[in-house]
Amino acid sequence: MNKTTQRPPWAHPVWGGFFSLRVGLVLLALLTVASMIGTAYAPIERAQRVVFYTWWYQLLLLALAINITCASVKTVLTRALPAGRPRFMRGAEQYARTQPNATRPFRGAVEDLAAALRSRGFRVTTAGPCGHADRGMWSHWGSVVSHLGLVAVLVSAFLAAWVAREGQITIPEGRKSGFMLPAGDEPRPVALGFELECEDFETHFFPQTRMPAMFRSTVRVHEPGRPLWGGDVEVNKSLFVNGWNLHQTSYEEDPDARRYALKVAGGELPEPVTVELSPGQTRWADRARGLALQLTADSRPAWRVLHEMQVVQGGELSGTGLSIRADRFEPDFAIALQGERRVITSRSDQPNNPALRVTVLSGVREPFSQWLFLREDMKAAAHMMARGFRMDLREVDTEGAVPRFVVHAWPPAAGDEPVVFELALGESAEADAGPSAAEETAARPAAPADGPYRVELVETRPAYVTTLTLTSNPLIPVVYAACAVMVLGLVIAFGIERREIRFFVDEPAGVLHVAGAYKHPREALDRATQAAIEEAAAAQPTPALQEARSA
Amino acid sequence: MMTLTRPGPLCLMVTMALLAAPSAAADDWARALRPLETMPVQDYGYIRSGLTFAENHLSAITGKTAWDGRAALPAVMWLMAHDEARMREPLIKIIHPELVDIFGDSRISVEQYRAPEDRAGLMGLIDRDPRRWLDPIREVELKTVYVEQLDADFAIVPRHGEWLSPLEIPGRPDADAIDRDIAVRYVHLRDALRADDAEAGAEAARRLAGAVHAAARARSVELPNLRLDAFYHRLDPFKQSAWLYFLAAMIYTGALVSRRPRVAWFGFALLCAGFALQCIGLGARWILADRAPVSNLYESFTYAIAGMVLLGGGFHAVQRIRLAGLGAALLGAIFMVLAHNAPIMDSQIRPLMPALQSSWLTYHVMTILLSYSAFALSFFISVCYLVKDLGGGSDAAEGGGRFGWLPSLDALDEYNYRIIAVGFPLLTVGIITGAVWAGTAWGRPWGFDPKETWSAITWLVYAIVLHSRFLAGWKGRRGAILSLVGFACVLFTYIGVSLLLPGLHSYV
Repeated sequence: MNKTTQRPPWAHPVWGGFFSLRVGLVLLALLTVASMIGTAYAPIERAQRVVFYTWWYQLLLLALAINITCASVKTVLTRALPAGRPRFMRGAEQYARTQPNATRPFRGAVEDLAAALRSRGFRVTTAGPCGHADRGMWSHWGSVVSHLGLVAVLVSAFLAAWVAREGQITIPEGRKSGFMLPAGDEPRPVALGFELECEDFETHFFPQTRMPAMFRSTVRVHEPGRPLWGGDVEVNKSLFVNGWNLHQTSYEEDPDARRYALKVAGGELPEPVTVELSPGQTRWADRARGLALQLTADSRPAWRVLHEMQVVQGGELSGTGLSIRADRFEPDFAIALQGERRVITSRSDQPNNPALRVTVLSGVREPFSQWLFLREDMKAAAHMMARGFRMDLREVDTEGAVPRFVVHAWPPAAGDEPVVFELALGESAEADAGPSAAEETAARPAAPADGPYRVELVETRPAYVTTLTLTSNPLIPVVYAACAVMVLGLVIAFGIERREIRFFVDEPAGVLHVAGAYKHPREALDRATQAAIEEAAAAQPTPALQEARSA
Repeated sequence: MMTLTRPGPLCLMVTMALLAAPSAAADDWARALRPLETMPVQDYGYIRSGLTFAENHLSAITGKTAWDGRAALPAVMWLMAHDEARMREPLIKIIHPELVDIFGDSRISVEQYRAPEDRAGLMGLIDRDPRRWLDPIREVELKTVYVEQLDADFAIVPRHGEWLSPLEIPGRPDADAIDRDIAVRYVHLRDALRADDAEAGAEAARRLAGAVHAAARARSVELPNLRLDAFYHRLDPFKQSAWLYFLAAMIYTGALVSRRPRVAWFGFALLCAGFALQCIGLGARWILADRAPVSNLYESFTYAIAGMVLLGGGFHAVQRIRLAGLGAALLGAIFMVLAHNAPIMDSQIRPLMPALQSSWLTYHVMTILLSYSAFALSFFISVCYLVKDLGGGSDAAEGGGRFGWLPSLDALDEYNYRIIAVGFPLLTVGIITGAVWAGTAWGRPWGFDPKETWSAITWLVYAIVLHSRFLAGWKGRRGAILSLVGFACVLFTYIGVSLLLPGLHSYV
């Protein structure tokens, strides 16, 4: 055999680099610097474009993966496999050179110490007067396992660039969408092959704050030829739909769209049910009874009760007359900053600056709320004209248990004569809406309002628009499994104590030499070895027995 | 003699007894208002005890938890009852030095701040240089609003889904007898405070607290353990543990310098006492918030300190590395002082935003912080190495030189490696649990968010530290320097990224 064929691949002048720890360290350092540079770019998409998703960064990762794989092979061949082979040491001077070591008088045999070490979990091999004991040698495999886990993570991440898909879909409450905007530089809508409907969006705030405690989208999946189904998507709780994971990302209020809460009672319903709807939406009121509620998508929505999806009754959202409700009263109106938000409150319980919030429920195109002030300077400051509708707070009576108010209203095109409302806090009052609203109502196709069901508008609020992230990455389970392997390797590598003990019984001199090799340098032999030596020494035959043996 | 042989438990008991005992100098009003200490108050989305509410608000305004010789609760109640005085008193603490120059004092009143000429001047400053002036002025504005709205923020009327201030009750159409009862009792207390009648105030406070508790019961409003909340604030365990760590550090230093290893066990006992106090604090916060106490910088900082003390004490007790005990005690004391004085730290228990409402918060953050604790110890050992190495304290010198009391350079290098060998797997597990959480919440395990990337950078640096030990010449001084670089990366990942680099982890 010539020398070239004997040379291992890591000693090869060209291929050796793949096995080199120095090259691995250089790659780690390059990745560190490149990653630092990447974080200097904002937003993340730009950093991804400039650094993290570039060919050279991916090449660095790939080179590291190759280096780690080769280094692991080298470790297996040079350290992990030979680790189990016993190596003996003979000669007192060899033991004296090795740290830590111990020498003591010993009259027993090699097997005595071997037995004592075996009883303490050591794997022992003896050859003549020499012995080799080891424990935890398979911790050498720990680094191999962890490195291979890391390689699997890197390769999965590398392949994910081709197979993983991600995008966002934005759906207003009560609406549907079948397209997502993929993540990337030039997002063009991509058809999903099915439609997602945001049936409802729910958000709760922590008391006295505008900080959301929870937000959740209830989605329904519309797919040709398949029954309608759906579920909830919440932060940290995703929904799996046709190969996509849906994640709740964000939401915002849509100032141009409203959500109507309708209370339906009577008919087959044992108790009233409140359903939130957007114009054009149909939702179950009582699914078991096949009862649904629909809001038409007209400029001024009307309701319909459906049984088994057949219209059984319909009507206007409320009466044709103008109706307002006194919602909230602040005797000494003030706006305060609470954290990052402005809150309306009273400075005192004295009527220094009385203010009343009224909600116009009907007789207008869309319900709305408005603060009205009694003080003339405040009236001047506030714009008390909303949607062509002027109102004025004329009197406040706080003498009684519940404050009472007189409000004047001038609906659009109603002339100078106001509609006068006298109402208490929390009460609604109704009056004729004037010609414009009446005309609008008359122009609508009449729906039969009589029927077994009573439908009433409870409240309206701005509708929400929910944004969901859709992700699809079949390699994620592989990444998680590789991470688990990596952690297992680290536990083996760092958590298992490795020790090698070599010993030599110099029978003519009656001396035992012991030397240890440990993962971490030690000043003395470990306790188990010391105890084994003591046990073996204590079990030595007495001089009389030795004499008898020799005889 | 018992004190000498068993100092740890006794120290702890005496310290706890002294700290938990009520102050003998409590004034009449402090006694009178004691029923309010455990009364529920809704404060920025979280139900707290009256004592916590008062301390939080007073310290937010004045920077202190007492004012004008009054403890927090009497002070806040007095200010609530005296509207005009509240606006006149120089309560607002100004931190920004240039604003102090403008106002001529570091404490101003609401009237001073709202004075038209000053206000116009401040608005002019914002117009001229908004980047420089907006935040400092906004901070003063916020404190001013805190003062103005002190009584409006006192939301003690529990209702379904909302809490109201007693002042809001007259304006509410849906107020019932329970609401009005609380409002009336609050007015009685306010009258007693205005008349400075402590006896009547005590009765009014007792009735008010009783009415609020009864209303919460009647309306099935779930309350946290308010006694525990008040106990936690009275004990202030984290601040007290800083003293114990400081004393432990002194004893450890004495033991090491005088080369009396047995004395170091006294330091160890104090370290354990401090750790026990911290565990009480962390446990109390965990129960009160019903989540792991690692959701903001202050909580994570105190948890990391506890982790560092646990690891340092463990290395001392198990592997006889006394220097690790010293490091834990010294850094524990320094970091605890920082936790209570750095302006970016907020010690209040806050409600948890939806993104953090996951059990992964516990696994991910607690694991990764424990790795930071180990790296802090490694940093200390590396500093010791460099001090001994560069400070003329070679092992060969007679008596080990000026720093002969420190372990040998080889031993320090080995200690450093052992501690990193604990921290590195923890960091790995922490990053992996974070990736799994990101996969659950955002749909992808890794997105190169700055926090993610910097945690990977930290991991890479420590991987270099560990692997470079196998290369000749990369142990010892180079290893210690690399270890310092690694800890710098830890600090930047932990604090720097949150402050400087916007991303998905900005709330951390």
